[in-house]
Amino acid sequence: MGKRYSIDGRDTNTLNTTILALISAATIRPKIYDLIMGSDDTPADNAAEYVLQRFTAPGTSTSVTPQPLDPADPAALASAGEAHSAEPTYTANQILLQWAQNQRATFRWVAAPGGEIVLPASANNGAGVQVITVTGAVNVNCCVHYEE
Amino acid sequence: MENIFPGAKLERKPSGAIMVDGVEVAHTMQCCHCGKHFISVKGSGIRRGFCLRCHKITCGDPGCDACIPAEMKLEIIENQETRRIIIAER
Ligand SMILES: [Zn+2]
Ligand SMILES: [Zn+2]
Repeated sequence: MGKRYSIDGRDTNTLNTTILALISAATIRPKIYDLIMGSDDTPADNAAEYVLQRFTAPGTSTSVTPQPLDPADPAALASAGEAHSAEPTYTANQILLQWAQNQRATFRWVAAPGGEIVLPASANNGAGVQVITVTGAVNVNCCVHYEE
Repeated sequence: MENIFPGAKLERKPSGAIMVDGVEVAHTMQCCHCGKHFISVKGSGIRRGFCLRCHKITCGDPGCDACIPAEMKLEIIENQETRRIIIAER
C-alpha cells in the first residue's frame, strides 16, 4: 500500500462550481478510496447532485495541503484545491462517481480493495467534485482520502 | 432518512459501497474501461455492458463498448502529456 493522505474542502455549493479537487503529478498515480460529503450549514431540506469528474487543467482555487495519515510519511506529491474561482477543465463524460444528497444527510463512498479511482501520472490532471444540480445553495464540506 | 437508492442491487463482489448517515445503502461497481463507479438498480432499464476480454462489467456508455482497459487509458493520457512537454522544449 502506498502512502495515504487526506484533503478537505469547504465551499458554497453554487451550481456548476467545484468544491474540492485532487491534482496529480508526473511521478505518481493517486488512488482515491474514500469520499465524505456533508453540510455544516443551518439544517434545511435542500437537494443537490454532485459528480466526481476527471479534468486536464486544475483551474484556480484555494490551495489545500494533503495531510499524511501516517505522520512519518513525507509531504504529498499530489496537490489539492478548494472553493474554486476558476473551474477546472473537465473532460466530457469522464464522470467517476455521481450522487444526489439532501443537505441534512452525510454521504460517504468507500472503495473496496482494487476499486480505487485512479488518476493519471500527469501534472495538472486530476479529479474534482462539482455541483451539477442544486435547489438552494448552502455551505458544504467534503473530505477525500487517497493514496499515492 | 429514506433510502435515496431504492432497488439498489447488493453485489456479490462490489467495487465500492455507499453510506448515508453511516448506514450502508448501496454497492457500486466499477467500469473496467473508464473507472467510473455506478450503482446497479434492478429494473432501472439503464444499459450496462460486460467486456468479454476483461471479464468485467462496463458502465454501458457507448465510449466504453470497445475494450480499452482503464490502465491503457491512463497510459494514453500520460503519453499525451509527455509529448506535449517535449514539443514545448524545442
Ligand atoms: Zn465506462
Ligand atoms: Zn475490456
